[in-house]
This record gives sequence, C-alpha cells and structure tokens, in this order.
Amino acid sequence: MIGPLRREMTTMLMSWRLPVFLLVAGGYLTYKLSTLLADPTVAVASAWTVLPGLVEAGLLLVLGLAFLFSLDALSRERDSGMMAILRVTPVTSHRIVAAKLTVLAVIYVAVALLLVAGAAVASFAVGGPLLSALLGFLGPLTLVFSFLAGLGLFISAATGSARTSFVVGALSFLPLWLTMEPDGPGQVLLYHLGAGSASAWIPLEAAYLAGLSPLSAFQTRWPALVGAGVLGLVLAAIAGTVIDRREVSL
Amino acid sequence: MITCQEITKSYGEHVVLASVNLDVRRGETYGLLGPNGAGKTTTFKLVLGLEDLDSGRVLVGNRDVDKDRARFLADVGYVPEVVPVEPRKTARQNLRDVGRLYDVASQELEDRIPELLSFVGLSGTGGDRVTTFSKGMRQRLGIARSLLHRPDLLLLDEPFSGLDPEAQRELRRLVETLASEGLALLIATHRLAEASEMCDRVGILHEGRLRQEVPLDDRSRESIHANFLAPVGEEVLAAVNDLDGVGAVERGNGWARILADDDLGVSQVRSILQGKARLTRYRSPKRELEGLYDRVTSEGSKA
Repeated sequence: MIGPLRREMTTMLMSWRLPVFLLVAGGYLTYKLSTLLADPTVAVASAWTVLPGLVEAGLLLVLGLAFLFSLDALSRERDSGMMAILRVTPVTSHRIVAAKLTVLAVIYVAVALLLVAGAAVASFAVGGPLLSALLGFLGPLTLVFSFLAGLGLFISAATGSARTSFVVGALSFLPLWLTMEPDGPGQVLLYHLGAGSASAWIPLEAAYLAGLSPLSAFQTRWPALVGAGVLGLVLAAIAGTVIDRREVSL
Repeated sequence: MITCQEITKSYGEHVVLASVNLDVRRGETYGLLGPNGAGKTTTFKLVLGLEDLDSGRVLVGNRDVDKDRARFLADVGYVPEVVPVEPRKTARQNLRDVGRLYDVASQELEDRIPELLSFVGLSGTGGDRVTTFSKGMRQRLGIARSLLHRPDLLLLDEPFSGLDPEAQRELRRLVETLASEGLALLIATHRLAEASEMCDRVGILHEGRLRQEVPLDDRSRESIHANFLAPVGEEVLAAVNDLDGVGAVERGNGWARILADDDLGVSQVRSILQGKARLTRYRSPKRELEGLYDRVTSEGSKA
C-alpha cells in the first residue's frame, strides 16, 4: 500500500490543482463568512444565522473536491499511458484505487480543517454553538465524501477517457445536486412524479439537512448517510475490479 | 528464461494467437517480427498477464503468469513503444515512483537510481523535469525504469520507433549490454534491419502463428534457402549436411536453410540441390531476414 500511496502523494503535491482548489475554496469560504457577518440583518448575530451559509459552503467544498479529483484519477492514468505501467507492476488494481482514495481522504481532512477553522473564527465573532454544530456536521459530511469519491473513482475506471469521465460525472451529479435542497426543483419534480419518499435516501439532501439540524426540527437521516458512505466504498472496490477487466492499450 | 507453451488467444471467432511456442533464454535477444495485426501486442499482453490465456502457459523461470501474477511480474520489465512519464516530475522522481511500486527498499532505490541513470546516459539530467526530454531520452528513461527491480526478462515494444539514428545506436548499445549481463530480451518489432543486427534469434509471427524461427548467431556465414520443387528424401539433406563447407542445415515444411562457410560450400550445395530446389543465397543476415520475412508473410496471406 505504501508504494502506490507515496506515488499518489507526490503526484498530488506536484499538481497545480490542489493549490488552485484550496485557493478557490478558501476564497469562497472567506467571502461567504464575511458577507454573512457584514449583513446588517444579522445585527443580532448568532450561530443560527451563519450556519446555513456555512453548511452550503462546506458542501460545495466537498462536492468540488470529490468531483475534481476522483473523476479523472484513473482515466487520466489511462490517457497518459501510465495505467499500462501500473498494471505491469506487482501492485494490484485494488491497491491503486485504495491509494487514490486515501489521498482524496487526506485532502478531505485538509478541507474539513479549513471549514472548522472558518467556523472557529465565526464562532468567536458571533458567539453561539457554531463550532460544535459544525463538528457535528463533519460526520455526515465524511459519509457524503466517501460516497462521492467512490462514485467518482467508479466513473473514472469505467469510462474511456478523462473527458468522458467528466461528462458522465457531471450528468450523474446533476440529479444529486438538484435534489439537495428540500424545496429545490429536483425535489419538486420528484414529488410530482410520485417519488417524493425517495428523497429520504438522497445523500446530499441528508447531509444538507444534517448541517441544519441544530436550528431546525430536522432529524439527521443516518441510514441514508451511512448507506451512501458504504455505497461509495463498494463503488471504489468495484472500480478496482473494472480496471482489472478493462483492456489495457500497450 | 521465458517459455510460452502453446499459447492461444481468441476474441470471439477471431483467433489472434494459435498455439504459439516461444522460448527465450538468459542472455539471448529474441526478436518477434511481424506485420501489424500479426499478434505481437497480444503476445506481450499475455506474457504480462494483462489478458487471460484461452489455453497454454507462460512461465518465467518456474513462475506461471496465471498462478502467481504478482511474483511473476517482479521478474519482468516492460518498455512500451511510447514511454509514458509523469512530465511534471523529474527523471529521478519518475524512477523513484515506479521503484516503490516494485517495493524496492528506499536505500537500494537511492543507490540504484544514479547507477541506472548513468547506465542509460542520463546522469546529467536526473534532476530535470521529464517534460523537457526528447523521445530518445524518454526511451532511455523507460529502460532505466524497467530495470529498477532487477528483472530477469525485459520486453521492449517497437523500441526503435521514432528514434533518430544516434538514439537508435545508443539503444542498440544498451540492449547488447543488457544481454551480455544475462538478461533475456524479447523485442517486438517490424524493423528487420534492427532485428537482424541486434537479435540472436527472431521469430516471424504472421496471422497469429509463429511461422518460422531464424537463428542469427552465425552472422559471418553465407546462408542458402532452398524451396523444394518436389518432396526430397532425408538422404539428400544428409548429403548436404555432410559436406565439409556446410555448417548447419535446418529443415522446414518444403524448405531448408543451409549455412555455408564459404563460396566453395555454396557451390557444393548447389551441385547437390540443382534441379531439386529453387535456391536463394543471402550474404548478410539482413538480406536473409528480408527474404524470409517476405516469403513467410506472403505464404501466410495466401493460406
């Protein structure tokens, strides 16, 4: 496991994408916090008014993370020809996928720390249990991360090129995104289609509601979240098998 | 060193390889020749365990690719036609990454990287990003990368493709050095000139069958190819073999290859086979190989 993991770490550290992503994500988070704190309607500032914006920002960070880094993690190797080199080493495909998932998890932790740091600053500024609420949100967020990273790796393994991975990823992500908010367009459509009860199992919605649970009557939907997390790990494992079964161009 | 026993592979109805037997010994350079679609790449995929065999076995030493692929691959190095690299990394980092995949110990890796960079003539550029490398330099880096784990067998896929003459000469030197150090080398190519200069033996693969194997170790000798006009008895070839000026006789189905020491040997062979066979004389391995290749591939197409 160590060999592939060290390779992934150096590759990620040398990639331009990580600093750019963190810069954009950090910038967005700062913007979100500063506009919330500067809002005159939040004169009687409290954690409850800041939290929804922060939850939304946090979800966006995780979405971007899983979306950008997992979707082409394997297809990029195939495009560059490195997949053939990896496949002729004694390292198994499952170890390759596990290394990629681990590196994504390390970056996720970095992003989570960014969120917690932001929340700590906001907590200090506005008072209230913002930090503790966000720490409670990290559990659901982690499960959603697992789902998205696994889904991205699976798409990356199953598609022919990085470009196709992004297209398929975007198409499969769209319904999740549209159904994230309880009153959003996706949920309305589901309701009209008579599938309203399915929304209970939508992982992004479950995570969104988990983030809002401290200030609302929403119950955290743990079955949906845990199910999504486990599904992500299963998809990652299937990705390894897909790599084994796909033809390698020499 | 590597033995392919009756390996067969089909995709649906299409037979890509049919009962191919191949054996490359330690210190030998074997050229797998054939036109596009002959089955060279499929052979490599089967040897590397990237595809499942329909039947047959592939062994390196006593390790079977089907039974213990990970340990099998620990003894095999592979250099693709276009060497993929991680361009943002330096040559040294590219080597280090792959060395770790083979579980080469850190200290050994740090010792081996400069040694290999020096061997392939890249010592001065080990710290440079690979994006600045020419195709020839990448090819040499690919060879260094494939040797990190000290394999017993090295597979090279079309190694001369796209290289300038200087890079080709350098690559030939590397291949010869590796063979002299005891590695078994299997080279897939369709370039007859390079194969004849570099290989100890070549196999001509056509339409999924290994049509003929040609030893090229007697490079100083004259060779005569006899295509028999009618079936001849063993006694005729025995008589040829007994001639003083004849070194070896190899017999195939309807043909024979005779190695003669000098002009006298050639004329003696002619006198025996006159009227029984159409004779073609080759004065260099390259010409010989070209003639054979053309004949084998055209016969295969007719069949």
